[in-house]
Amino acid sequence: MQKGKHVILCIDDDPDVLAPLKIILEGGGYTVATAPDAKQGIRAFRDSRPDAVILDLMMEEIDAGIRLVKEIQALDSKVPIYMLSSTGDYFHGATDISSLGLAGVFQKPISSKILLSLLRTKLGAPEPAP
Amino acid sequence: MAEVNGGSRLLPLDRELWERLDWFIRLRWLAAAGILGGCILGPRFLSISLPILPLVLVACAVLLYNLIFYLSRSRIASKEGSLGSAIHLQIGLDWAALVCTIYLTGGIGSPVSFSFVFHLIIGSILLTRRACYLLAASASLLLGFLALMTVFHPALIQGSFFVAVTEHPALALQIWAGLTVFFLVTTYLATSITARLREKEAALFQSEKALGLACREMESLYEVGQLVNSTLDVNEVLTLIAENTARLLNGKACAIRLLDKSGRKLYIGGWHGLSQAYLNKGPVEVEKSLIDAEALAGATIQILDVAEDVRFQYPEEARREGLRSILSCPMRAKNRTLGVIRVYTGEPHVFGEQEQKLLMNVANLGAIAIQNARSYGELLALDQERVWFARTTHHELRAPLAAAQGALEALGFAGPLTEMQLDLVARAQRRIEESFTMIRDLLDLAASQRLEDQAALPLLNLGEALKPVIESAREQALAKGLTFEEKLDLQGCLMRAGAPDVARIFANLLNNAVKYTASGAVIFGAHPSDGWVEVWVQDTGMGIDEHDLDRIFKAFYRTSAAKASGITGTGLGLSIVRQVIERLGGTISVVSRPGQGTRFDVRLPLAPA
Repeated sequence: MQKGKHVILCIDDDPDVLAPLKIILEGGGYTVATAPDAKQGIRAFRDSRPDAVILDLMMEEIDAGIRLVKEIQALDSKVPIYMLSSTGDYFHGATDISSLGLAGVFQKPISSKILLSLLRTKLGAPEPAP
Repeated sequence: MAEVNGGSRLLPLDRELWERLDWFIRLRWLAAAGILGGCILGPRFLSISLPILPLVLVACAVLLYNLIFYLSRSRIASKEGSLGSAIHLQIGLDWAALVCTIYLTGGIGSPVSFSFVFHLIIGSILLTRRACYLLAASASLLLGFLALMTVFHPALIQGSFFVAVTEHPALALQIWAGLTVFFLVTTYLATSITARLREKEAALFQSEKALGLACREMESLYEVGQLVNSTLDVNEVLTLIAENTARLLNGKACAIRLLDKSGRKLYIGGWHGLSQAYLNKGPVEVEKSLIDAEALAGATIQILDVAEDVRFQYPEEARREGLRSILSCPMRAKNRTLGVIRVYTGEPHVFGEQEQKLLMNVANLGAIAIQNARSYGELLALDQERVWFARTTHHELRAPLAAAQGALEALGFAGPLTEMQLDLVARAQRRIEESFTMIRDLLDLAASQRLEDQAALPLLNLGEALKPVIESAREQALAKGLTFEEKLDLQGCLMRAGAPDVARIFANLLNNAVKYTASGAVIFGAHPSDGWVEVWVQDTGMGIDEHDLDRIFKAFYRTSAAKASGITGTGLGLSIVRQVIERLGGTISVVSRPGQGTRFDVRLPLAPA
């Protein structure tokens, strides 16, 4: 929580995915931190102490996202982590995604309505902007 | 007779002798009857005086020993070597009876004297040529003795057909000489004819045997062909060929070595009866192994003793393995040499022409099976690559579209948009949505065409697999204000299929039904029927024109009515449906009336209970 706003950390290696995501979330009243890969993602997590994390499991190399999930869970077991998914991703990874303990999955392309309503249910309404 | 030679105890020649002996016994009944008949009819009708009692005694003796022979037939047939003695004993006894009869009916002048000729003819069939001439000589001697008796002691001769003989001694000698010549000529003719017949019989027997062998060989080859083509797993094929080749050629072991890609080395493919140590002795280099080089060049190679043949690369190892002789030939399919096959024996053995041919035939048969299995394997690998490619392409195509869609979605959050801008964004979003559907359907199409070993799939409970599909269809139908009716009886319907395939079929059909029905109902029914499950999807929608019915299953085809309706679609759905159904061994049919509705009927095979 920063200045009464929930902080969401978004990690994706595609800047064209990250940019609109940031706009939608900020428009929805959240503070957004972003990172383009797993390494910077973990640093950003330490720095921003987010209330929720949204990340793409399929970054750089196979399973980098899965390792990142486990690292974040090791730092903070309570923070809800959402996965950004494209259909077809499942075929590439060897790990069973359902065993990761994720809070939810957002299907790409992102629907702003679904994204914001799910986050609102999970985190509660943000403070009205001053 | 059937009870005697029913078994296979008798060799063909013995059986033949036995049959003739049997015939001999039957004739002898007639001979005895003839003697008795002569005793009765001779004196009455021909006014010949005959010593009735002694003749009847001779006839009784003949009947008695013939009865003994008749009763002991089975024992003669079953006891080895008894057949020859039985023949000799019978001829001896017959000879004695004949001499007695001739003596009692007038000596050399008796017409019975000719009867020797019957035995000579029969003897020529049963006995050797030499024995026949001996028989003829003995008949001549016996008759000579009787002739002398007739000449010198006519009083001793009882009964007479021709009194003249006793009165003219020279006539007796003339008759004897004539009979002797007659016997010799008969023996010569009979034995010559028999010899010719025997030769032909032997030739017939040989060709029958050869035919039998060829027939058995063909049966074995057919069996091997069936066996090696029963699987498409290369390793299984190789093992089956090795096993069956060793069995067919009575070998101790068999090895199949296949050429590697360089064509310079042979690696072990399939084997039977060889130890792991022997198999691990090292790769065979074609240049160093002359026997393999020759075989690969197309020759059939035979090695009597591996320990002493310089062409053999590993003589010491082979000796330790207990291998002695080898027969080797190339395995060729479609003019390509795949490798070599070898049969090993534990004892020195010279492989005959027949065995060499058999190995070549098995080798060729095996080569074709190997080629088939390899082609299938390559096809499977290619197919997997194709599916992988389709999935990757799918992912890569979706990612940029998803990003574009995300950007359009965010546009509204970046600041207020005018009505016109909003309309443009909505159009762009709709087109992107269509592209997503198209990409999804293309992936489905690629997946529906993949090769799959149906029998290897786990059993799928159709009722369970359809639950999520039905749930989703019901939601769609209800959301559109349609009635959704279920008439399902899928109790115990198990089939060999993947759940995604089954879902693909019925999700598509139900989705279409909901999509193209403005009002009314969608009905989903199913019931098992004699090893099949019949499923139907019925709607009260817009229907399909008759001329469109046979085209709707073609990829990318959309009916003009569907296009005009403004409902989006890729035209791939039904094409996917049909491909999946056909891959599962099922059928699909459709009936429709424009404006009233459509019904799709799907039949899928159930797994045998």
